[in-house]
This record gives sequence, C-alpha cells and structure tokens, in this order.
Amino acid sequence: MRVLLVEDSVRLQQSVGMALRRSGYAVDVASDGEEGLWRAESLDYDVLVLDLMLPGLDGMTVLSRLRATGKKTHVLLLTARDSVDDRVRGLKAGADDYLVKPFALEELLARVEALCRRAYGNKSNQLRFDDLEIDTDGKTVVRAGQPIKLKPREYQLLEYLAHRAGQVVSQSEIEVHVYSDDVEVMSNVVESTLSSLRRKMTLPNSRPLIHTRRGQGYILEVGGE
Amino acid sequence: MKTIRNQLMRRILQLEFSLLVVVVLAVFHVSRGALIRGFDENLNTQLRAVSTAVEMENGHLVFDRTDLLPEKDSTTSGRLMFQVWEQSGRELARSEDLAQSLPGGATGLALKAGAFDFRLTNGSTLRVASGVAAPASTNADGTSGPRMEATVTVAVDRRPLDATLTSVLLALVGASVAFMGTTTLIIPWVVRKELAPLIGLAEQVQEIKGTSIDQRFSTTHLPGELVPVASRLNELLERLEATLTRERQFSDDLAHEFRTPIAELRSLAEVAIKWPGTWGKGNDEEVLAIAVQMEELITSLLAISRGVPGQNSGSAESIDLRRLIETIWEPLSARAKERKLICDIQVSTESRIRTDPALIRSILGNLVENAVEYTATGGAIQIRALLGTDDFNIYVSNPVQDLTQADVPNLFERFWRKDPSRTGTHHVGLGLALARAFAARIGATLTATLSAEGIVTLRLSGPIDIAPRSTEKHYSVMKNISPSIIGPVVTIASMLLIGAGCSTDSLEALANQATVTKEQAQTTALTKAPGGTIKEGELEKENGRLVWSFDIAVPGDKNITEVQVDARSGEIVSVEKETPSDQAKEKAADKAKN
Repeated sequence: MRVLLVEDSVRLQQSVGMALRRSGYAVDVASDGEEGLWRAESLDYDVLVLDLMLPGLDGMTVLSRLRATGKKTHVLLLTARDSVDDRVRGLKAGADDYLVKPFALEELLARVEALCRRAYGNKSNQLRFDDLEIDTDGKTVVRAGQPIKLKPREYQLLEYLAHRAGQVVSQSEIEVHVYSDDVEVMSNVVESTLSSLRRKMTLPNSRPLIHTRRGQGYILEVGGE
Repeated sequence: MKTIRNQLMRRILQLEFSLLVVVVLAVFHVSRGALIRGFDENLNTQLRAVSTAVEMENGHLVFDRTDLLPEKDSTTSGRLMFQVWEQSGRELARSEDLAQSLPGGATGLALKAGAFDFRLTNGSTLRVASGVAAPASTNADGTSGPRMEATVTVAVDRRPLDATLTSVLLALVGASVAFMGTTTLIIPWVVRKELAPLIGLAEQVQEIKGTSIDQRFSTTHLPGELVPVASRLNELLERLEATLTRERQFSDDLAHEFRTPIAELRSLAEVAIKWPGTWGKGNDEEVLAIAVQMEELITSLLAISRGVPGQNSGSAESIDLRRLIETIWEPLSARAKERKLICDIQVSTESRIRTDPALIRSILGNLVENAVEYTATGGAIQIRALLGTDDFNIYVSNPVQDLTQADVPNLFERFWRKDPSRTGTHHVGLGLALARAFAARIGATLTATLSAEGIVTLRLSGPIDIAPRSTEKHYSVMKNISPSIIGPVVTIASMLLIGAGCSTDSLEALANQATVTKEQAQTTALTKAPGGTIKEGELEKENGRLVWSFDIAVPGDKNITEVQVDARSGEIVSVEKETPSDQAKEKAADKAKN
C-alpha cells in the first residue's frame, strides 16, 4: 500500500514516515501543500496523510483541489486544530478521517490501515483467499495452516494482490502501490519479487494462486492460466 | 420576587385606594351636608307654618289648629310633630299623638340654635327646630296690644333622611368597589404593556450565556429611557466578545504551538518503543531541540505576561542609541550580507536617552532582527532615531512582501504569523507582541504602518528620560498556564532523554522497559564465557538498544569478556574482550563522567 505523507514538520516526516514504512507501507513525503497536491494528483495513492497547516497551499485547499480533480484517494487529516468546526470543515471538504496532534502512533497506523482496507472494499484485517490467510495487522501469512515467512516487499506485494483478488493487476500498478519514490524500481524487480513469492507460497499439493496474464499483468485467483 | 412591575402595581393601587377613600368621604360629606341642609330648611318652613297658628285672642295666646295643614301631609317625608308653650311655660298646644315632650317651654329640655337631633325615649331620633311666635295683638281702639310670645318646637322623624344618607353612602362605596375592581384588572395589564420593553430587555439579558455573547439588543423599538441601557450593554458585550475571542484565539494558538512539538516528541518515543534499535544519536538531538523550542516559547510568553525580558531589568541608564543599534546590528550583519541587504542607520552620535537598557535592547533587537529576516533579498533597511526635547522616535523601515494593510493590526497579536503553517521553529509569532509589552514597560509605544510602496515602518516613541515601572503586574492566563506547561515539558524531555540513553539514565526507568530478567540474561551471557564469573552487570542503553551488559572474568584469562544481551529479546548483542588497559581507561572515563 502506498501512502503520501504531506507534513511540514521534518521531525514528524521522519518519525511518522519511519513508522509507516516499518508497518509495510510504501511512503512518499511532501513538505508543502503544492508538492503534496502535485504528488497526490500524479499518483494513485492508497491513503493521503495530510497536515492542515502547510506552507504554500494549506491542507484544506489541497484537499478541495484534489477532490475537484475527481481523485478519490482516502485522506486522513492531521492537524493541531481540534475544534468541532475544524473537524466538520475538514470532513465536509472531502476528508475520510481526522486525527488531532499529538496523536498515538498506533492510532495513526490503525486509521491508515482502515483507510487502506476501505480503499479496496475490505472491512476486516483478515484477508482470506482459498487456503491463504493474510493478517494485515500482524503482517503474517498462513497457507493451509502453515506460516509463510515473507520479506517486507514480498508481503506488500501479496497484500496488494490479495486486496485486488480476482482482478488483473498491471506491473505499473504494482510499482505505484508497492514501491515508494525513494526506491528505484528496476525493470525486473517486480518479476523477481513475484517469482520469490510464488516459490515461498508453493506447498506440497497446493494450487498456484498467483498467475501471470501475458501482456496484462498478474492476478490472484484459484485455477487460471 | 421584588420586581418593578409588582412594585409599580402595588404603589398605583395603594395610591388609587387612598385617593378613592378620600374622594368617597369628601363626596359623602358634601352630599350629607346638602341633604341635611335641605331637610332643615323644610323643617324651618314647618316651624314657620306652626308658628302662624299661634294667635292672640282677647289678650290671650291661642293656637288655631285649623291654620295647619294636615299633619300627615307634611312636605317632609316624616310626620310633623310640634309643641307650643306660652311664655310662662304653660303648654299651649301639641301634636295629637305626641307622647313625649319636645325640648322647649318648661320641659327643662334645652333648646339649641338651628336644627338639631333629639332622641326619644323609644329610641327613635327626631330632627328638631324651635322658634318664637309673637302674634300681633290689636286693642279695640285699634292700637297695638300687649306683645305676647310663644315658644314653638317642631320635630320630624329623621329616619327618611338617614335612609337617604345610607343610600348615598352605599352608592358611593359600590361605585368605589366597582372602580377598584376594574382598575385592579386594568392597571396590571397597562403596567405590563408599558413595561414590556423593559421586561423584554431583562429577559434578553437573562438569556445571555457564556456561549451566546454574540447576541445584541435591538434599540429600534425601545423607549428612549432604555436606549442608552441597551446601547451600553451592546458595547459591553462587544468588548467582552472581543476579549473572549482574543483569549480563545490565544489559547488555541498556545495549544497549537505546543501540539506539534508534543506530537513530534510522542512520535519519536513511540517509534523508538515500537521498533527498538531505531533510536539514533540524531534523535537525542531532536528531543533536546524540541525541549529547547518549547522552553523558549514558554520563556517568551512569560516575558510578555510580565513585561520583562530577563532577570536584570528594572534600572534606568543613559543609553547611546547609535552605539546600541550598532551593537544590535553587528551579529545580524552576516545574515544581512548573505541576503544582500543594505542597512542605512541614521542615528546621531549625540542621541542619548535614559531608559531600561535590557528592555530597549530587546525591543530594538527584535525590530532589527525582524527587518533582516523579512526584508526581500536585496532590499534596504533604514533605522532612524529622532530626539525631541522630551521624547524620542525610533523608526525601523524595510520593504516586505505579501503583507497587506489588513495584516498590520495583527502584527502585534501573539502567535500571529503571515504564514499560518508554523513551519520552522525559529519564529513563533511572539516577537512583536514581546516588543510592544516591553515598550509599555518603559512608557513607550510601538506602532506599525505600511506604505503603499510596501514599506513597513515600526515606530518606537517614548520619553527621553523614564523610570521603569514596577514589574509586579502579571498576566493571569500565563501565570496559571506556565507552571502547568513547564512541568510536563521538562518531564517529557527528561523521559525521552532517559529513553535515549543519555546521561540522565534512570535504572528504574530502564528496568521498566526490560522484559528479560538479569538472571536470564546472565545465563545467556555465561554461554559465551564458559566457566566464567560475573564481575559486574548492568542494564543500559547502547546505541538506542536496551541491553544487559556483563563483565565476565574467566579463570586463566587476564582479559575481561564483555557480553551484551538484548534486554527485550534475550539475544546476544555483542561479545568483546577488554584488556586490563581498556578496563583502566573505561574506569577513568566513568569517573570523569560522574
């Protein structure tokens, strides 16, 4: 899942960014409203964590302009203003959630997680597909009752595919949602991560779940190919 | 409840009742008098009629009843009674049914002038009038005969008169009661109607709560007497609202100023707790920077509230303005040069004022620093000082961008910044508020103007020779807020520094974070030094990681084996050998640190 953090405090960029990355998100950071809007318009982020008081364009303007372009990215407003008016204004402007500073990091992560699930129409933190179980909270994967140990990137890729199970996901979509800007995506990195993921998920007598659609992308489904 | 309406109604009704009683009594008195006079006149007429019945006949007085009208046809309502006596007291005549003597003659009953009341033995009261009849007597020769007089007393039962008086009285009382009843109903209605604006105003005032001070009283339909009241109330409400809005804004800003650094501290701490090992030296510095930032904020706020920049203010000294400004400019010149700013200082070397050196330095320092910070690159800053006989004016002017006339009044507001994002930590929007507070302390005023060309000028005006005022006045909000903020700030910073493994480490704080006991860690450590003995063991933070560190002596080995075990996971972190020389150096370093 890819998250854009728009926050002018460098310290919060670092700590919240690290927390999100450690929790398995691909995170991009913007320091002001203009950059944040540009990034949010350029890519399909799963969640936008947006500070309200930003230099340049303020968060409310960023949100309004983003919604005006038709972008439906889920937005979590982050602000030091805590009055009911501020909250109502933020939510009316198109925000999906609101968090007042100072906040508990766990709460921020839980809200981002919830918004990510909502982005793909899931309400539970347990993703189940055939004999595959993914716990998005604990970032654990179990297949046919056996735990599968994945690297962070493999897990992110599998979770993204699981969120979009039954849909063909293009390589560029994977690059957008699983890799942040600070990672240079080599031409075969997705292919190689998928290959490793398939290998780890293959158990004796198990059916393949991740399939390649030539020229289109990849799909998580039972059967296929 | 004691209300104007009730009091007014009570007073009006009391007054009305009193007046009514007086009027009724007066009317009754007049009516009674008139009735009695009429009655008496009638009685006198009767008296004259009876008197004419007294005649002289052959030298004697006689009473000729035939001259009388029938007694029952008396014009008075009651029956006429009379009694006539000769001068000698002998009764000459009396009414046929007069059972008891009337006053007069030889009866011994005193006569009174005019008509009067006479009570009979049977209890009834008569109205009595008496007179003297002296019929003319003529001798046979036609000359006047001897004059003889008779006393005539007439009486009439006065019950009809009393009945009439009673009717009049009843009529008056009835009319009064009816009048009182009607007015008792009408007066409250009238009073209520006429006092409606006052009552309405009172109700509106009563409805004003802390949350509805934005209400205002309409003066359109108010009576003239209440217009000033409502107007003054509106003024007070406006002032109150402005004050509350300012204080609310201040509280919001204050909270906002602290929310971000607290969020930063909290995030740093939570990340470090959630992912042990991520805490680096940079984080220590960040925590310190945040604590310092909050400390500076509190110090500035306290300075505004107290109007003093530091501990040493309070004395007046002769200040060389030129030298002071140059001293202020010197440390800023590098930054000005970097930003290609030109500074034109037009202050005479003779410019001296007598004032508080700390305060004036703080004010001018703030103005000049702001000018350097906010002047557009390549711009010119002008500092001028003009001294009059009694006062001085210092102007600091510089071109600014993005500042509008509407912003000028906000320049001195606490926490106001053109950029509301609060990005950066150096300027929090308190500088000019501080400068103005300090200016007030030295009896000066600080104002700002913005020219059409975009030149902002800060003008400090004050007396050339002043004595600083007392520093006793404190701003109550900050007085209350500051201790409650300083405590947590110090605690948070200390806790984080402890968590970061800084010199303020507390064993108790570290022990609370460890999940592996010392005994468990010892067992693990000894696996790396078989047969060894633990010489020393302690819990410490090493590179942000919580570890049990053991010094183990192994028989036959001069070196000490230092084994570190992760206090959360129980894993071996490091195994190192320390030579005797290393140990000596470490001891010396520890001693110096303590």
